[in-house]
Amino acid sequence: MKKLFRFSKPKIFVSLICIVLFILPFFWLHTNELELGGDSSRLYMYDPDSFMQSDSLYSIEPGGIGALRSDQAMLPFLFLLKFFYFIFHSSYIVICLLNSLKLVGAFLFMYLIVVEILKKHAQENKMLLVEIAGILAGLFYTFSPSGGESMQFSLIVHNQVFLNPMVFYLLLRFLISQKNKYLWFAILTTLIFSPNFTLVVPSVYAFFPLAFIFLGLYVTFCLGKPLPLRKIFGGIILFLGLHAFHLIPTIMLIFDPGNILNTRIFDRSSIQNVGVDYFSSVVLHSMVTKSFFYSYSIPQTQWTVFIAPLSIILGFLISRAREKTFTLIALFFFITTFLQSANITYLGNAMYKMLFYIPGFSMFRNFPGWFMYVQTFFYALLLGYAFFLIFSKLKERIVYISSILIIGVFVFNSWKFISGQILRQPHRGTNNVSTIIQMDPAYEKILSYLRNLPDDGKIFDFPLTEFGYQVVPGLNRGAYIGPSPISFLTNRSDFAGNPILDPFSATLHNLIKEKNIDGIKRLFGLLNVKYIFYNSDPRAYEEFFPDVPNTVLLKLLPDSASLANLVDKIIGEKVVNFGTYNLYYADKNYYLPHFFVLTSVIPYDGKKIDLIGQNTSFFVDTKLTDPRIGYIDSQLCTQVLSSCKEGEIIYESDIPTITYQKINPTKYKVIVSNANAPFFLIFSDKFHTSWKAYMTNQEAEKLKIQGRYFDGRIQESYHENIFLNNKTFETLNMKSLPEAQHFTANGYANAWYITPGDFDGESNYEIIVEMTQQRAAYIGLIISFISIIIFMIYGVKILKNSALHQ
Amino acid sequence: MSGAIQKQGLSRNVIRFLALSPIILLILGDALLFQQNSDWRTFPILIFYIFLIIRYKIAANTTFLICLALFLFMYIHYIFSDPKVFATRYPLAPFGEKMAEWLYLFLVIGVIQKWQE
Repeated sequence: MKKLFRFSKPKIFVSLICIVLFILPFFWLHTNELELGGDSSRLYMYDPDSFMQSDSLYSIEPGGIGALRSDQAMLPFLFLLKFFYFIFHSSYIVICLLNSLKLVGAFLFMYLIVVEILKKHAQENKMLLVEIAGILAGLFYTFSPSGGESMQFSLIVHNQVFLNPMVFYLLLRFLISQKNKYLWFAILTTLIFSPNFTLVVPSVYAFFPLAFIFLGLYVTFCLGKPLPLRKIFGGIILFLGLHAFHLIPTIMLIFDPGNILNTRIFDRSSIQNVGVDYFSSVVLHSMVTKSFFYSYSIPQTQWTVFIAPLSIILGFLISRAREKTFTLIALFFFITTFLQSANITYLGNAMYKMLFYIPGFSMFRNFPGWFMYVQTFFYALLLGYAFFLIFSKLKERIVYISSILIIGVFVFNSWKFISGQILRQPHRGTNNVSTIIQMDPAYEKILSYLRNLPDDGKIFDFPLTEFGYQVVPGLNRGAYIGPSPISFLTNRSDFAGNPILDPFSATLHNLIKEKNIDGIKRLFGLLNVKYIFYNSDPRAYEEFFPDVPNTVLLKLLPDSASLANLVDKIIGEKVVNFGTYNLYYADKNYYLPHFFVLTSVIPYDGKKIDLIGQNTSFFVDTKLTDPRIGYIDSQLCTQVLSSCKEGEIIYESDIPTITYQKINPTKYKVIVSNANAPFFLIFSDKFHTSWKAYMTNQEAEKLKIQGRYFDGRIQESYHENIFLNNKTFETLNMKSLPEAQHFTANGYANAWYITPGDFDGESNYEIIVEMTQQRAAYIGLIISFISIIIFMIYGVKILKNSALHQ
Repeated sequence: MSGAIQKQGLSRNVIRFLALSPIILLILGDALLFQQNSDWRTFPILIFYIFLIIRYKIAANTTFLICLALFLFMYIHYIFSDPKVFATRYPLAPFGEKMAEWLYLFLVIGVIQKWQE
């Protein structure tokens, strides 16, 4: 009985800590508050269903000119969030639950790892010390700044705080016990949290290679057990099959020349600029001290940092010679400290820099941010072991007292994090504006309105920010600053900031500076901007944000009045307004629908003057009243039209009528009528050779019309968002227009030169414009779906066997 | 030389003290007298220490005691400094940061020694 009590006491304590950690995040926010901002935003916590529809199903960026990208990895995680959202109907609860999961998972699994490792080396009568060491290591890890400081603005990869120890523990148990159920649960975890296990997430490469090497060495070298290689191989195959839905599209992008992933990995100048140079600037702020002393930079708590390094040195002093496990953990602590600090001698620094020339390594340019989680993991492991060694030399009563004191010091040191103050720090460069907001119902109404608009026109946001963000002030003195909710939650493309406006951001700034209203309208037309979204609340501009994120626009238009004056000159009719959120039409005389046929072609000498694409300021020069103009590189133009000469306008008079319908962001249907002569068809999404125009060779469908432009020469049907139906793969057997007839127009858009010969002289026909890279996503999904079925059957079999053995 | 010292009747602790004092002084000199770290000082000091380890059979725990001393220097500087001092190495790394680098290097040496004992 006494033995049972002694055994169960730490377990009760662990359970109590887990309960406290679970409840804690619910006190960080009030029930009507949300914390959503940050680089990658957490809009998926706000409305997971809309996020999935807008962002994760398709290989097209939801905002701007529709660049190619892949975010399918979010899907399983979004299903999980949808499930919780369905139960609780509250973003507040979903946010708190995820934070709770991070805290409990981080503590529990770190505790379990330390106990699992130590119990192999401890005698029966030392098990209590093992448990105490595990608890202390778990708390040290959970409260560390690597997890705590990044809780504000946390990216999706922040989930690694609990995922790293969780997957590590399951794999450790698998390798020690060789029971398949641990491997099965580890793979299931990677599937549910697949955004943390994509090909392009640095956290995977920062932690798992080292973790695998550690586990392999621990099992073979320290425990003297063989590795179950066949089972490991089977696990890898299952992992690849389950993750195919995001691995395949991402691999396609990596080998897509010109794609940002391809450039980052293979382009030497990019490696130098984005990798090595960035590293050289970050390394100045990387300190070895921070790897030893964990603190939240509060002067009053600085003295508390001594516990971990002192305990480790004492642990080394007490340890026996050739203590394999302790030495192994120490080795990995040294490696990760070196990787996190990059400042261990100049030679070490130079060697580190050389690593950036390995293709793909430039993903670690912000190395302290990526390796801090890994360093903390091995630091906690080493500390747990050191505590055990120290406690082994002390009397039980002293162990209890010192453990309580240590916990007290950990809590005191991390109070900024534990109390939730870390989430309430203001946005940088603002007038003390909190990152926590109470959502404005007026903004929710405008989102809902935009979601239900029947057409496909794009939206331009004012104020225009510097980072591709939208600013949404809350009812309190707080604001969401992050990727545009219009893009990510309404399934509509909008231009919310300068990077999204590329290659035209500098041009727009010049036009605003020159007060060239006609030029701005013409540019909006060219970008397929149908609506102007304007938040007239001064809190979204200079009142709350005198510096960032509207930096450049503030230099041109220093206050809300001058911004209002500009907006007033460029807008058309009002569509709707809710509170300070106003939606206007852009000037209809300049509007160019998503698809249009050119009435005039202006060849120009293409100059590559920006990083992203070809751009010139051609569109402001013309005084043509009909905006259906195509600016085409004269070299490309001469390939299809012999009369192309730079500076000479070519007029197209015999043009067909077109009707178009959006099936989804990667597929459009275009019905062409009365096409008696060759014509240029423009599609205003970013040019890519994977956009193909398929000739359906079937009778043109009669579409229901909701919008007419240019005297009905262009008609728009009600747009849809069909991800999968019986027509999804209809283009597989269709012939596409030759690539020689496909080129860039207007500096970014897709243009096809279509002749009657392409359709056997027919004048009425149907074209399907499709992004063929989306097929990779479908193929991946099919593989993953089959793998999930196999995986689940296998899981049921494992659990059944496990139950039988018990 | 060690044989000669032992013949004069000096205890093992005294030998250890005589051998290690220059190392501590060299490290402090490097951290206090020079504004920038340099591998031209760091590696010779480390090699000199490794020579002392081999020559005087210095135990790993002695190295960890040096680590303890380095830790104390680092800690004292840390707690009496503004947190901003440790925010960047630019333009100069603070004294505590230099100590942290030395601590790291001596911990590595100590662990290797312990493995070989």
